[in-house]
Amino acid sequence: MLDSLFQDIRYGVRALAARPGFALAALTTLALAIGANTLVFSLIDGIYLSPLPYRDDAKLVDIENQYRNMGLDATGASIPDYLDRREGMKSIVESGLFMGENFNLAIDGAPERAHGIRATPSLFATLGVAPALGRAFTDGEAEPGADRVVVLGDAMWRNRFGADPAIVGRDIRLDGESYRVVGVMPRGFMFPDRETALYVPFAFTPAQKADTERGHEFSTSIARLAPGATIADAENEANLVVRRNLDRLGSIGSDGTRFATFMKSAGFTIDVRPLRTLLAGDHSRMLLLLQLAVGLVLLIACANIANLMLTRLSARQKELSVRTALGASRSRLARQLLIEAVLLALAGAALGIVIAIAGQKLVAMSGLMPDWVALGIDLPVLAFTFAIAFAAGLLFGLAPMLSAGLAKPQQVLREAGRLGGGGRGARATRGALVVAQIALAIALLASAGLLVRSFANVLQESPGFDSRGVLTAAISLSPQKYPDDSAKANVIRRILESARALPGAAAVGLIDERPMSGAISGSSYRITGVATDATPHAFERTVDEDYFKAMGIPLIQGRTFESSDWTSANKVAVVDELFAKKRFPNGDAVGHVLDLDRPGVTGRQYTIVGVVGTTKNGDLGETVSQETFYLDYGQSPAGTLTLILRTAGPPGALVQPLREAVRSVDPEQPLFDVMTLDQRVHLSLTGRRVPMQLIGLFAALALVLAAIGIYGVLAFAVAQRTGEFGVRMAIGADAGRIRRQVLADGARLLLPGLAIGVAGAIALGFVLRSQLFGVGAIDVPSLGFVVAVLGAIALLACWVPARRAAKTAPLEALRYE
Amino acid sequence: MPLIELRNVERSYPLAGGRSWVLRNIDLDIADGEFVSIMGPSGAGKSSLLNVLGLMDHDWQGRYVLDGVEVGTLDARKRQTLQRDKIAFIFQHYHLIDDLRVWENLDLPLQYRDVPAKERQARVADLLDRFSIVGKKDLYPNQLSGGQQQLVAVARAVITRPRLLLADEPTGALHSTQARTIMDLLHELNREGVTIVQVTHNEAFAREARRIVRLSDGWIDKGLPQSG
Repeated sequence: MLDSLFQDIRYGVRALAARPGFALAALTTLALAIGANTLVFSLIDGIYLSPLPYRDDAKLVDIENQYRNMGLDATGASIPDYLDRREGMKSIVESGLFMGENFNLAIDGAPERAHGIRATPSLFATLGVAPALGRAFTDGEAEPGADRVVVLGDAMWRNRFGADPAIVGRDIRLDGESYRVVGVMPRGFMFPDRETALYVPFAFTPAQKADTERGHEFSTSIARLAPGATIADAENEANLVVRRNLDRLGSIGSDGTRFATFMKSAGFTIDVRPLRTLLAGDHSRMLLLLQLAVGLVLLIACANIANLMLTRLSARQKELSVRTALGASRSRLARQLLIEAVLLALAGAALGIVIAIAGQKLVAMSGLMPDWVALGIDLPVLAFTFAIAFAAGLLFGLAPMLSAGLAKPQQVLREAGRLGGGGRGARATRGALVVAQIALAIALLASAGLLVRSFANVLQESPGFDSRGVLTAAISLSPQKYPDDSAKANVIRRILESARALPGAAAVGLIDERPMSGAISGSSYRITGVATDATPHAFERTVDEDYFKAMGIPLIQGRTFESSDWTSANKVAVVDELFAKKRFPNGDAVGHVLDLDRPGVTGRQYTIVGVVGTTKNGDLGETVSQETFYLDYGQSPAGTLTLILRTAGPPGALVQPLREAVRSVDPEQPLFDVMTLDQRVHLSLTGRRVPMQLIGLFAALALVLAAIGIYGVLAFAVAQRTGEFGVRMAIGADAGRIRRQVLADGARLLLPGLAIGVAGAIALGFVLRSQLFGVGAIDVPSLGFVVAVLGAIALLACWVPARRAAKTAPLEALRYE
Repeated sequence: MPLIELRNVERSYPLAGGRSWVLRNIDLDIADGEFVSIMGPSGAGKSSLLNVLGLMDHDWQGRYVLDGVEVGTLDARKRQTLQRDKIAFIFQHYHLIDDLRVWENLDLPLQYRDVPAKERQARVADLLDRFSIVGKKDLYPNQLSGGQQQLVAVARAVITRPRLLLADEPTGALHSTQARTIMDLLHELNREGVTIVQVTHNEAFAREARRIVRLSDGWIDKGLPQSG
């Protein structure tokens, strides 16, 4: 048995080698289609299937506060929230809290920015990872004043400290302060992303632990589920803790009651989700779409190869009949043919892996994937690749055999004898395969068309500001060096002045977030003397007086900030147009007072002095539904901010002068994340652009394969029917009639393919709906265009064989017969 | 004036180092309404001569006048028109179109000649009747015996009412009874005025023609007496 199998494999290899043209065509098709599938699956594997670098990572969860009635579904956690859960939940065995922070790291005097996190000592235990060198922080080090210790990430230790093991125990300078290095994390560890280079203790002050801190959700809490506990258990328990707390708060005075009422009306609940969701972001829908697209490409490829196999089977009838005559059983013949198909598929898979690796490099460069995702070909990807290759081999190996009726070899042989190969059944199968190919290609092309149209529409959208000729650069002030608001305001004032003095700087402003990064904090508010719905919530931004000018955001009413506001006792705010429309439909926003008080925080009343245009926050395609208010930087200074320089010339020319301007104020102050505003807008489109490009690429592949399929089937049919064309010409058909006949044969395949494809495209359009912008699931222009393009290419593919048929010399044709 | 007049017709194919001659110095007249058999061993040039006569081959030298028309002076289109108007073929292997039913096979030459549908219908019905194949009209060729297929092939040839019917071994693939039927049919057509040139290996059937033209190595063998 095994012996005969090996023999069949040997025959298979030899049979393929004997027809290198066929093998090459089939291998190329397979390699492209399988490669595309491997590529997309490797993205899925990298994000969702490959183990995270933590012990028993399936048990790790992210616990997020949610304000359902406000449309906020993941706001992080406050310190008291974290402490409640740590003590009150039996379904978790360990938990940690962290927040991102940028540090100015000074090595040999040159300032450099390093991204790190403040984390509770329990974070490492929760993740189940200990430092490779030294130790993690102790609970004692998570106390204010005792927290000048740092654990380095492996990359920072290697790149900045030459992998010196003696670094443990030495001091480094962060934000101008000395921190003792107590440990180095192992190679391969990352949390929550690769950009995080160091970890310092999260020391809670007594005030931060108080109830008044609730609602200050600037941290993220993670936990490890107890043995046997599920995510649902943890969620139920966490919500129980919330209810208990709100009941308690509701009974301790007016502030507490107000807070409890607010939380209840905001729909405050807890959402527990796998930690992976926090790290990966939600790419699942896009990746499933891509996998669907490449799955279709593979089906088209299978149809193509099934056709090639069928053609080849027809040409091999003589060989097969000899084998039958020599005593080969039906099953043995079938096995022989299947083995050839599977061998071909496996070889295609091997080549496909090479293509996938090249594709991974391109995807990695595109910035689509989170930075910690290591794209590669691991065991699951290999298994997936060879499994789909095997399945494809069976599919394109079996289909022709069944259609050719190998179950009844006598019939095949009889038909083959009559028609010179390819009986009526085989021909019908070939036709059906081409119809399927055209339909699949139409569906894919139309999807790509929808995404391209959406992207074009998104590009037409105005972000609400003028991104041309603007340079942006981030600054993170050291809290040690600039501990209070006035220190921050002073240094920023001096930095702004020196930047404004740069030749070529037309306007220089600042904001506390990075524009178009999607990151934006928000706050609940009230309007003094105006009844609003239960819990209005707005985006909150802190900007200076020149921000709007530098960004090109239009002033609609009143005024923007003025430099005198920095020191004025009269607190002022500017709101965006959406805010004004929502809250002041009569157009009387200016003069009203924005009240940002909340339990424990008072005196935050800001007079609205102006209304500016609404801007987008992270996606040109978003419909801004949340209003924004702006506070004056001088009145609420922040430590991390972005400088915005509108330049007279090319923005790039100001990068170095800006660095020097900042250094002239504080030689230890680094600038980071320097890019033009146009680049930020471009970057914000990555999530739309890359999937569109990938689907476009796969659709183009599908188009080429479908065209090859149509050409192959018609060319084969024409070759098979040379004699028939000769007869037709002998009984009076002219070249034009023969050409028209072949074209009509092509059209008979094309039209049902187009019709089914359009139906499929409409169905896919509905699946894609959430990814579309400014275009419906049924988009007649793009559908029409796609049908026209595929129709034209298909007709071209028909034209070549039609011309050949029309040139048939009856004499030769009949001799051929 | 004869229907066919060949003068010094020669046909050759280029070969490495020279040419291979398949027809040499052919002089042949065939009168309107004649029934001629062409005989000769394999490779003698019988089919080549038939192809020249049938205007399927035009790469020859010499002079060929068909029904008063100098064939050599015609371009491809006119040649095809002439062929369409005057000539029909019967092949040894019938060469019916497998995907078309019997009646569709008969209809096809009329379609190619842009005959109006009504007339086509009438002529097909007429021929089906005359050849007694009405009962088979909806069958596909592979559902017929060889003799029946050749019968359909003859019907398809004469449905265009040709002046000249060229038959390349019309009985070659048939057993004797079927062959007899086909020969009788050819005689009947000939009596109706159709000029018939048949290539055959069958001496008896050849003799049924008015004249036998014997070919040998591309030359007409003039030494033998013609029967008639």
